[in-house]
Amino acid sequence: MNAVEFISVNKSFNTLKVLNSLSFSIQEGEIVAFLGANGSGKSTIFNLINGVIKPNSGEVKTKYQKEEIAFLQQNYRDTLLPWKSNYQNLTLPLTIQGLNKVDIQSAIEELNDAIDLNLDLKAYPYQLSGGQQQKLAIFRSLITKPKILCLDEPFSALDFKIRKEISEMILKYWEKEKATVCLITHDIDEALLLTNRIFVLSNAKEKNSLVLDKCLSLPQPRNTLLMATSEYNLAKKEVLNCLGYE
Amino acid sequence: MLKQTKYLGLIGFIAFIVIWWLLKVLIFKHSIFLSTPQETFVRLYELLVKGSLLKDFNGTMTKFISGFGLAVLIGVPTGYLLGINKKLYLASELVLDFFRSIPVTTLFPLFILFYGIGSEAIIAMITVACVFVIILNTAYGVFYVKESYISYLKTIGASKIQIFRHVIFHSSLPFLFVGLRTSVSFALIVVIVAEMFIGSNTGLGRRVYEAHETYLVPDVYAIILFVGIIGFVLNKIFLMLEKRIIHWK
Repeated sequence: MNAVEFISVNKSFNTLKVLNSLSFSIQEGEIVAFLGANGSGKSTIFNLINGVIKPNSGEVKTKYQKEEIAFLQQNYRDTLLPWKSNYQNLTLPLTIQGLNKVDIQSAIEELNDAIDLNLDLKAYPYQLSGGQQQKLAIFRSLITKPKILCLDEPFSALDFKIRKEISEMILKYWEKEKATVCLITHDIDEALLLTNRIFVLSNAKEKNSLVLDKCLSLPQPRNTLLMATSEYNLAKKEVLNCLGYE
Repeated sequence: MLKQTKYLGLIGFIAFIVIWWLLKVLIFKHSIFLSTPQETFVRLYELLVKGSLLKDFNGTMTKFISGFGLAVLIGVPTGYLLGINKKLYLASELVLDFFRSIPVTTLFPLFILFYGIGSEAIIAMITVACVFVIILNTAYGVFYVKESYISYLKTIGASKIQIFRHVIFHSSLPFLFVGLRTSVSFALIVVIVAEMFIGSNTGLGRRVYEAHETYLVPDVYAIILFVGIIGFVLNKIFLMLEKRIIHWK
């Protein structure tokens, strides 16, 4: 079974049609990117995967339960609870699941082994920089060891150093846990360097929402040197074409 | 900078005492209606140490705490209930606004009819004066909870009770505290005024009224000063609690 499967999904909010007859599937362990203009329904897809909203018609299938799917929202800073310490924020998903203190502590140790936390957990989110807050939000989405990880613009408004640090952290998690990672981004280079498959969504709702489903055969591990290769530029051109830029 | 601000406050207080003294010495020299700051402070000391002011203070504070406490006990849960259930809030908004708009002093006769002359009527008055402010502020606190917090809790599978415990309760605290601080001032006004006019044997309101009736002017000023200090301290306590509890604001 695929990790995620959309079958002819339609979704509207009042009279606004967001997704039109959308069908795609993501295999387990894939790392994919969703690209598209604002309003093309990228975040809606994540909300559907997470089960926060239901489709008007069609079917959304996920291999895993809600507890095994993590969703990092676009407005991550507005999801960190300022009255809770960084520790309490980090462990909130586990607290909600009803885990006891011992299990919570071992989950933190496990995460720390996988990814260096390097955050003041006694402090509060408002005492952290934007980049640290972003890291905390990502750590929090990883604490439950999700099988499917949905990241809505995880690198927005971050400087190059933090961006690199966080992308490496996500790749490390993906490799270690063999999780399925779905990423929303506006940066084509980011999508090409990080993922193995790109979905491009259309804003034109009279036709099918999905205009491109491209598997990338670029070599791993990837770095910025790859950007000079013809293979990379061909793939980029194709994505740009679908987005209507060229 | 903070130290400087503290000194400015002290300078302001000293200036106030000097102006008060100058008014007495230069303008109201022969008037019996204004006592000097010195007379007032000495009289306040005497009333506290040798007089019955502490007993009156206890009487007033017992009524104040009972009335305010009851308002909190009724107001906070009701406010949360209305905040969470928008339909219930809309259904009761008109009634709440109506009762909040009635000056509680207008209801003096009703309280006496229901509770008779005594502490019970005063406590009931304080409760009524505070409860609507607490209800409405608590409900507003719930209305203004950031949708993103609730949405996040939903994505991690939180139940309604968990959403309330982890988000709504904390997020509404700033509004709740505004309601509590406003109510504290209301409660102090009501308890003093009620003690003046509803038969009460003890209490600062009763004492200031009696001092006025017997032309004990320094006593009047001393008690007014004491009530002012109580109000000031209560406000500071609430501000301190607010700063400590709502540390993220």
